[in-house]
Amino acid sequence: MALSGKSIRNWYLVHKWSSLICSVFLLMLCITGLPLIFHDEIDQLTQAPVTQVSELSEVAAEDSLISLEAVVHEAKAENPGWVLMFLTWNKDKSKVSAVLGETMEAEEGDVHIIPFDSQTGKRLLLSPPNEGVMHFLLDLHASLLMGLPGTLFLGLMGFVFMVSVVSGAVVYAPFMRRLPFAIVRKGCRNRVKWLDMHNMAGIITLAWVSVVGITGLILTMITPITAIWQQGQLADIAAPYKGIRPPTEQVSPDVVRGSIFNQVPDADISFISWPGSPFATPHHYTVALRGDTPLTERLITVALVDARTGTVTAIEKTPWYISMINLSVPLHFGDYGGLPLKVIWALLDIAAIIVLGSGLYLWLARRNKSIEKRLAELNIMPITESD
Amino acid sequence: MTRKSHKTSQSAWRIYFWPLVINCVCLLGLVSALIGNGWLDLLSWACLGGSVALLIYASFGTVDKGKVR
Repeated sequence: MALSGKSIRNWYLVHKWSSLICSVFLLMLCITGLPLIFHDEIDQLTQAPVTQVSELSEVAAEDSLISLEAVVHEAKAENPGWVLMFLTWNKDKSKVSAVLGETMEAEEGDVHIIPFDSQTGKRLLLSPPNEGVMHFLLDLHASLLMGLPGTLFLGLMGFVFMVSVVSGAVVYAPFMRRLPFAIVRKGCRNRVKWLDMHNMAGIITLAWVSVVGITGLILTMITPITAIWQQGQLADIAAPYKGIRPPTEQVSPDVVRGSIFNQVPDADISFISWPGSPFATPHHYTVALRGDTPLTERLITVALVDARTGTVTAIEKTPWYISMINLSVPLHFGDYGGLPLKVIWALLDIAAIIVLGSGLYLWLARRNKSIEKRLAELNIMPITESD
Repeated sequence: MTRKSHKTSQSAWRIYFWPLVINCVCLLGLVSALIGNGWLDLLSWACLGGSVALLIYASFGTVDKGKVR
């Protein structure tokens, strides 16, 4: 499967130009991604101690299910004139947050997020998750602070990066024809050392970089993929309601939760989306249910509850493309295997920074030398045995 | 560290053999923590941590007694 000189040259040019186009953005993504791996730990260290301010626990039911209606009432009282979009529960179910916007179409950065203790219903005084340094880093990482256009641009850079990764794996062979695997030659010129380092770190991290790159690319497509879901599965469920005016009076979220528990007694609710919000129809609440195994807890089943009657209209698995997004989140951020996996993720991220940095250095150091000359030079370079 | 150069060109299979093995192990590590907890987390740490250990070990370099033109 030896490549001809012309093929090597073409693949090398693809690798060089695709890398040059995306490397500055990829460096930014790797550097901002490093603290984001530990966002849970950093949030815990930097958050002010949790303070409870309200006395909603008095309305908590005997079975420890708090009154969601009371939570909604208090959240709305804090934001007069705003509409409730979602109630979301965190991973360990200790907190339920009310998400409010000026309209149902409010963007992520424009909403107010009001946290409550999910056991007592008490209002918690916590910094909103959509403010502060970590949110700034996430916004920079995900959209270059430019919203959807920035996200889609980073998606394009992610695609160019994958071209760079594939072409890099191809041009690895001609550079390694006479060299043992993972060699980094000491005592050579800096350029040779960094070329070896680039090849060694690049090939060892290939699978990890590909997975993180592809999942990042998928995550930049959340908005268009969600639009496809809204026009597909969600529109199909809403089809029988076509021509009917949305209800002016809606059943309370406690009724919605009760209907879900009647149908699925061990339901693990991830969020409830209000009628008219982006994840629901004008006639339904959408309730997202997590699975009960380590794999399925990341996959969502949606239940639609009629907002007028409180009856469950449909319980359906989300389509494959929504599951793909849900699985991409842990595989991109590395937050699914405890702290040791996060530390390993950070080290691999640093290795990726070394690959990107060494690639830039190699280009700057020899940008006037042809690929043919470089390969010829490698072939006559003696690599001797050493102890 | 002792390393030996190859006097003749290696085949593509020889060049890619160890990269293939290591990247398959990495993929196993990436998937194992996703499909379960407990020993599957341990497997994930071992697989991905192993590749990081190899990377750190290799980055210390191999002494090259030969001269580079």
